[in-house]
Amino acid sequence: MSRIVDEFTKGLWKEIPPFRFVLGLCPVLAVTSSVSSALGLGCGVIFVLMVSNTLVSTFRHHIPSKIRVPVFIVIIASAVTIVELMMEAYFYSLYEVLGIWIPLIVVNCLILGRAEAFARKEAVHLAVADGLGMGIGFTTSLVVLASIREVIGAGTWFGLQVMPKAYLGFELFQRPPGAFICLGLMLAVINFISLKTEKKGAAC
Amino acid sequence: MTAREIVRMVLVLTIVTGIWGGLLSLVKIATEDQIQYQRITNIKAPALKRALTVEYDNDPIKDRKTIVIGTDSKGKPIERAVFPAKQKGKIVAVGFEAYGGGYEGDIGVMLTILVEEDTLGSIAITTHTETPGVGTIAFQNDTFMNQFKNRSLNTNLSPGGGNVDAVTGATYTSDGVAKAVQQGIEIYKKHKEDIL
Repeated sequence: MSRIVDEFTKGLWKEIPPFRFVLGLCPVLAVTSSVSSALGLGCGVIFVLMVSNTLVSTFRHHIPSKIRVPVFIVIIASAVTIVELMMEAYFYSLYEVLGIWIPLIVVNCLILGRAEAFARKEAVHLAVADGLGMGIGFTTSLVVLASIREVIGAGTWFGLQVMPKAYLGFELFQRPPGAFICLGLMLAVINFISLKTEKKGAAC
Repeated sequence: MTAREIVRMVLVLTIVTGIWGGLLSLVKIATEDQIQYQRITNIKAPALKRALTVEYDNDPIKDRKTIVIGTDSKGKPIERAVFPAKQKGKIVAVGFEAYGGGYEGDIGVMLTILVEEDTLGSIAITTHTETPGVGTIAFQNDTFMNQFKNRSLNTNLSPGGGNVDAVTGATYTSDGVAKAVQQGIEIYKKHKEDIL
């Protein structure tokens, strides 16, 4: 039981995907100009990650290792296509905003990385916990990054005005360079915090 | 690598792709109507509104009907939705989509035809995959878009016909729009009875 909890929580801080692995950065930088699109992409990634981790782990003894990558990609690409169709059918405005980034979830290294590094070796319940933890960690990072960029860049959060009306917005943060700056600062802060906590207590 | 291994690999890949292919087509069938509905309300309806230059008192989206405009290479009928705009129960204009090849795939154009005058009404772009900021300048160019307004159906509007001025720097896109409009006019002439 504690193993499940461990695998789940490691994705939330200890191995939080975009900051610890620095994987799948392209969509991270691209969709975080608004909180709603970040959340939308994050939910898509959680779903795909769960499907791919569950299936890869369930059939891990039946997939010959020589063709494992094509099999993983087929599973991931199909799950992404389901997300794309569902989003177009039921969340059209989100589908329009995310556009090309939905099909590009297929090549998000995070998902293939989890299938390759974790799910193909571990039992199903652990793989599910890992997928859920990593997915939530990824989504949380996206939402935090998007919150900073949207509040500073446009003065809104989730489309609601949070800054005083007179605030004109800081355009740089809405643009790709702002995404890099923001991501760099967040990386620095997270490394600083873990450095401090590691020094204080016994290293985890 | 033994023959057994090869057979196993082929088998596994075939099964995986087969199962997923089947599942995907099920999802596609299940979401098809909803996607169609979303496309009509989010892309076609706004375009139709922009392209309808006459007064009307019905809901053209609700009153739409589907006509068959020919068959594709497999012999399947090609269907097209037609949106009639009515004033006091009489059709004053019809809107429908036509497609023309631009620089990067087909450009969808919603065009309206004024029934009484027997001329074009106006046009609006629905779908396209042109290069943003390059090809798309044609869509934002009012002089270009407005030159289709109220043109006679007997004018040759296809590119090279001498009756349409293309936008500099977006020639392929302009040609694609012109092609789509000309194709639309031909569809209207050929299927006038079905449309009205």
